[in-house]
Amino acid sequence: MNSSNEVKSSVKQNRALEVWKQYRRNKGAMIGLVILIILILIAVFADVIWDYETDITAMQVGDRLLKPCLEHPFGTDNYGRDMLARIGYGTRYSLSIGFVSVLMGVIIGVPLGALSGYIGGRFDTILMRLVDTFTIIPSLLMTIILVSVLGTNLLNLMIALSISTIPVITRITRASVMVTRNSDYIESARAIGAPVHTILLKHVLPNCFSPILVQATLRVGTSIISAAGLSYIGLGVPLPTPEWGALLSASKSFIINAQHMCLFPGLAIMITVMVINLVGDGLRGALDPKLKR
Amino acid sequence: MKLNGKNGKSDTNLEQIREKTDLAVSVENLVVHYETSSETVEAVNSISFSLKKKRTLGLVGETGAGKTTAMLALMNMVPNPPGRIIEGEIRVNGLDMRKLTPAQLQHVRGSEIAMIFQDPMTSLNPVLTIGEQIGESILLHRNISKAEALKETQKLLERVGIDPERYGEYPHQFSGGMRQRVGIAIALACNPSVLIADEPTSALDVTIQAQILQMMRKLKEENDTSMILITHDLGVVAEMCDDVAVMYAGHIVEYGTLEEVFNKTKHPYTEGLFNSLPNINNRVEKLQPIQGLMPDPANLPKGCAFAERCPYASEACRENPPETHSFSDTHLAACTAYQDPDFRIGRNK
Amino acid sequence: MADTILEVKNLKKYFKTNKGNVHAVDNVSFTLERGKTLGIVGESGCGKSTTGRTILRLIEPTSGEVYFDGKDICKVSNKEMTKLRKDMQIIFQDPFSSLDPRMTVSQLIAEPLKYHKIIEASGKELEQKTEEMVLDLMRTVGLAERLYNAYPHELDGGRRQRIGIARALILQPKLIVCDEPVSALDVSIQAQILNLLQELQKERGLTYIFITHNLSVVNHIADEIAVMYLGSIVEKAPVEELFQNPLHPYTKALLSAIPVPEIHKKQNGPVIQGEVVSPINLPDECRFYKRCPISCEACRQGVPELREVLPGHFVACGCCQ
Repeated sequence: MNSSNEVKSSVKQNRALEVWKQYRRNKGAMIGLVILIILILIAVFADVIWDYETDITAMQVGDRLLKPCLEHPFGTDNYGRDMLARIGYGTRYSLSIGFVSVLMGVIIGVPLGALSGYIGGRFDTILMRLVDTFTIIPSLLMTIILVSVLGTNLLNLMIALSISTIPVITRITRASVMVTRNSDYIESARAIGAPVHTILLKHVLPNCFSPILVQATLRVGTSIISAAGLSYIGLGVPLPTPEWGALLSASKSFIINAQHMCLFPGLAIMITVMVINLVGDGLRGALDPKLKR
Repeated sequence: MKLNGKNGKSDTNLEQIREKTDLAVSVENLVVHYETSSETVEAVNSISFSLKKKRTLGLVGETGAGKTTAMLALMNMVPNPPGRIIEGEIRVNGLDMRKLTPAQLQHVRGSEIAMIFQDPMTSLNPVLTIGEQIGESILLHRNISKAEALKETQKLLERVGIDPERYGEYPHQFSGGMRQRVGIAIALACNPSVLIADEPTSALDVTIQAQILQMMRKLKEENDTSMILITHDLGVVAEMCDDVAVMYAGHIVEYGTLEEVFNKTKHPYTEGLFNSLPNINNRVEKLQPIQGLMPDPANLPKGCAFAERCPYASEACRENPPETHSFSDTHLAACTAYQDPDFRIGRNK
Repeated sequence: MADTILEVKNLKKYFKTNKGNVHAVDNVSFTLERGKTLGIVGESGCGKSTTGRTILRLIEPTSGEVYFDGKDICKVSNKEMTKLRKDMQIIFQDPFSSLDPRMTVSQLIAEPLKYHKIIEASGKELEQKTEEMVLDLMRTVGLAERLYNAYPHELDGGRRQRIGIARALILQPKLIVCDEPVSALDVSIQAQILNLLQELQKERGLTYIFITHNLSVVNHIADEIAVMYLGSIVEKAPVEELFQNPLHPYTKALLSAIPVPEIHKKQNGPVIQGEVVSPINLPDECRFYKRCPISCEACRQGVPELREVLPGHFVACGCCQ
């Protein structure tokens, strides 16, 4: 009895460890995680590494449009600012735009979708028609309208992006809740007298986690790209903020003789989006007990 | 048309390599493994059996006993990878199934040996009418026109008890029992001489099961078909089969005529199966289930696979693979305990 | 008067569809004595599962009364119903889908305790007592202690069904609805579970409603059997009586259709033809009329009532006496 108690409690504590072990098996996810951590560290300590005034915004016209060299590994832009420093500092903006906008979308979209799917009936019909209305407007157009109404700054950009994320998350949540709702184990939970909110939070939502997580990680990527696109057409964060899309946008006039100016911000966006998808995929596998071994 | 020509050619080829035999099916030392990077599942371990023409062999066993894998191997249809036929000789109507070319195999499947699947809900294509699905099989194997194929289809439908006018309807318009009739019509489309039925009635209600079994018996007699019936239901076996093979963990543990296996049961596992069944004619206070579980086929013990659960097991059973004893020309049981000539299982005392 | 635990009166459940009302449960009435087992038998679509779930109010009935220990559970508030759930539990057919895949064996078994106060303790003590109770139950239903933290997908069907049974037992219920608890299992495992259910009934004085399509199983475990056809009970009798003296033509057909695992014991009753019709917008005649081999004019004059023709033997048939 005693020995079995010990075995059991240790296993209980090790749940997190088990998830981690499972996660570690996925090589791609591990690589993704390492790069993501580096990116996050850069974003957090950007102020320490670079001085905003001198490294990021100060112009040195003499060094303009230098090709990549030892002093400036990523070259310099048309005002002679170091591209590496600007891209590095920009991590802060792009990552926060991606994560915050999706987080807002999830915080609003998941409860809406869950209620809609679980309750059904008229509530579901009305909410879904509302969501449809949002979906039929192309998301980029939607964001453009919102940003132009709200004004261009970082917060408004995030709000605009999250509003176009909400319908996607709501829909996917609703769909998987509707499937899970009809499982025998939900009926089993009702039979033992579990209250509705417990059933939703403990049984329905955790089992809808996979599709929501996949969609959310994909949306982080789309949001970063949309933000970049908006900045590119001048509706994102105002200059001289080194947001990646803004950097790309700035490069368009010099694309013939200074390709490095668009190459490196483009790479940064691509790698970040890829890394987030890898991590999302790994998490999904590690958190689902059915996929074990 | 082109296909038919090709088949015609392989037809003649087939006659050259066909061995003269009066057995519809013969299997010798068949071994099938499923191999993945981490483990090898020994699904079928050296089984041998034969099926005489016009007879029905019942293949009995629980989930994971290897029944379905053995039958897939018989049609040379084991999914590869991960499945692989390691060794063994498989003959259907005298044809060595492992030596046929893909084109020849395609021809043999359907026209000489056909299969009825367990689940009539999933074995039919939901976007094709039942007429198209039956006709497809006819057009593939026979050199006839579409109009003739339609006539054949309608004849088949009538034989399996469906109104021939319903050939233009889709599977979802039929009930489970009716769909299984369609499945049988597809299997019968080219008059195969060997029919494999994989749990054909397990998904059906008893009254519908009785209808389907009655129909299968009738069709079998009309066409002189030989049949292998895979099932876990000993009641169905008693109604349908002439011979019985009981499978456990990839081995045939007992093999004999219906009468021998049912009334002169020799293997402890077969006995266990009988004792586990609630019998409608003989209500007992308490069932005597077989204790424990079937061993993991990826990790079979070195001795008899049933020893762990066997009430008669001795040390010898756990150490060495079971010896096969024969009790008549047709009756075999793989059980070491029969070394002792006085050994009897409880059922025979 | 016998000690009645459950009384069902004129229970009806109609589902509205585009094509019309589906009569899933149509005027079902019966009483059940404490400590006994009622077997409900019928083919797929006869409404036996819906009946079981409606009795537990997992599905709201369209009309009718269900008295559990004298209380009409169709009229109680949700709060009171939650309390009553402690006494009435269900075991599901499919042990593969009725357990939340994200919970471990111990979590699954202990979950009902979260919603009902069974253990008088709190904090550390509660945790310890819960654990003891779970381990005790695991022993009772035959699950090894080492499976305490296993996930259901790591186990075979028989073991999963044992989890389902333990989960139903932990609240110490009086009535358990067993909805095809063994149909998804292999015969040898099926016998183990049937024996377990019988032992538990003896030890704990449980009352079972045993829903199944398998007549051999119900013959083994039930004291009384109700045969359902298209939402209604067509015959109800003590088990020996029903098997030896079936009166309703449908019951006779069912009995003769069972394959018996013995040679030369083929019951040569007629194989009943036709299929169950859809339970939508049924005509006002005997439900079995279209398939019945002995139907007469009386069968078309409305749905026959369930009448007691012999002591304890009820049958709903216009022709057979």
